[in-house]
Amino acid sequence: MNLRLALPLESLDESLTLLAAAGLGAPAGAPTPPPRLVDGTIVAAVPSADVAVLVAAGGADVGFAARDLLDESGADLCRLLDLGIGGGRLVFATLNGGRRAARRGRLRVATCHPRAARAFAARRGLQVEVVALSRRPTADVVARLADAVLLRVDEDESEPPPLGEAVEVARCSQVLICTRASWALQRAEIGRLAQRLRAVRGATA
Amino acid sequence: MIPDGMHDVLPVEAADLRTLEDTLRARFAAHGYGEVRTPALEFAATIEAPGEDTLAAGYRLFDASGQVLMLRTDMTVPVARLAADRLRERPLPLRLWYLAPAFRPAASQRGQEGEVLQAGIELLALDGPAADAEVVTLLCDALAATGLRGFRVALGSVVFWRELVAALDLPGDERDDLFEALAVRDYPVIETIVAHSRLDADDRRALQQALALDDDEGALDQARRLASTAGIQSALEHLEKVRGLVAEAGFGAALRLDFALFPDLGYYTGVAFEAYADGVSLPIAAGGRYDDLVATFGWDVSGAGFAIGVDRLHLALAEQDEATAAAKGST
Repeated sequence: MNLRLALPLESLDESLTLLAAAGLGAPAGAPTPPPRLVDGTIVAAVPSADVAVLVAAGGADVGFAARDLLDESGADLCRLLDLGIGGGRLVFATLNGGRRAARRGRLRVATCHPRAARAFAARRGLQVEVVALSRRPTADVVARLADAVLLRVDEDESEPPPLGEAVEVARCSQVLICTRASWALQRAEIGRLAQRLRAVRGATA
Repeated sequence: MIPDGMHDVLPVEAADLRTLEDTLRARFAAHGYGEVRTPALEFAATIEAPGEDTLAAGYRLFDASGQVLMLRTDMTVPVARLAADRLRERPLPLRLWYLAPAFRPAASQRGQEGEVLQAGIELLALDGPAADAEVVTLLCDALAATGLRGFRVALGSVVFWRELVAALDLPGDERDDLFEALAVRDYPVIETIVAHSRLDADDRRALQQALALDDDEGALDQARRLASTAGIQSALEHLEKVRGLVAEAGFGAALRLDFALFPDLGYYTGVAFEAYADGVSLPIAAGGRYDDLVATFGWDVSGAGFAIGVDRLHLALAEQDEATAAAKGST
């Protein structure tokens, strides 16, 4: 049975390049995204925030998921291999000297990574009020409602947001994921895919 | 309106579930197991006694005298409590089965509900490969009796990893991080822990090879070569015997050795296993040996058992029927 692979739309080119380097490119003349790879693997290109959800719900057997989004999803999935693409950092920064926090006794943190923000605060012993946003907080939003932000900064970002002194919370790149059931029932096929991707990653590391 | 994670059951599903429950009851009874029932509410201290975070994350309430109660979060702990409280004078070993709901705060993944109907068995005061094989065989027999096809039971041993890590003398914090990553199968994190550890190159290689072990020709021999401690050799020998006995019982094709299996429940002390079926992303059943759990309640007897998630099994059967209907439709 052919594997069903979920790829993040936002970094489709990078994902397809990696697959091609592993000998799993799209057939000649295929559209982008290709419906299938040369070995018959079925491709589903979905928003990056939905890759983990799609795989967890059984809509795909394997996926390339950004680790920060994977952690936010809370999905119980196997993380098989760091793919070494889609690199970035989660950073935490206090803004305006945390003036409001000084009066209220706790930081208000704007983020679209609420789970990571709470975990970071717990590790640091910080009392925070997390404002969960659907997208990365913009300067305007932050100025209106937050004392701090926790956000992702991509490695290749040409104009990263001006954060001043920021603390790195975690490094994150894309990870090959599958469900526990897929890992048990399709071990050979998924193992082969992981091996080919590992070989490419090893060659470029 | 009903609380998040809870659900009503309507006539069609109820009839399906009733059939499934009857089948499972019949198989457990046919293997000589007797039914036990425990109250849905236990003292919170009972559920918390094994020190398992997963089990302690449940619904709590107070009784009239202010004592903290909990809705049970699984059935193994209440049955262990019951055995220690009520069954010490009975002839051993004890063979017990149950079919009852457990309650955990809901998660979003498919097949995870706030109220889960569990059907399972506990075999107390019987050790050795034959006892473990009896438990695994009964699981396979029960699943097959429901009409489920193509299921797989991944069989591993927590002793393998505990001994391997102990033999490598990994520092405590790295060991805990490694076990945590193993339980959630986060291999990149394990690779990072190993790469940054103070282990020498040979030990790092041993850990990486252990992770890569698959159930193929020679895997057991490879595993034996990773560390020659008596504990590992004995765990692998045990695993091989259990596999052989389950195969003799006719379920060899369903079994697969999984050397990286490491459940998040820390009370397992020996073999551990998880059953999977097409269409359900999480295990439809799980179990293993827990020789220290009943002692938590003051009675030092060994134990092994499993629980089937009846709702997940129902989902797997529904998916199987869908696939069969689709295949017929396409021919």
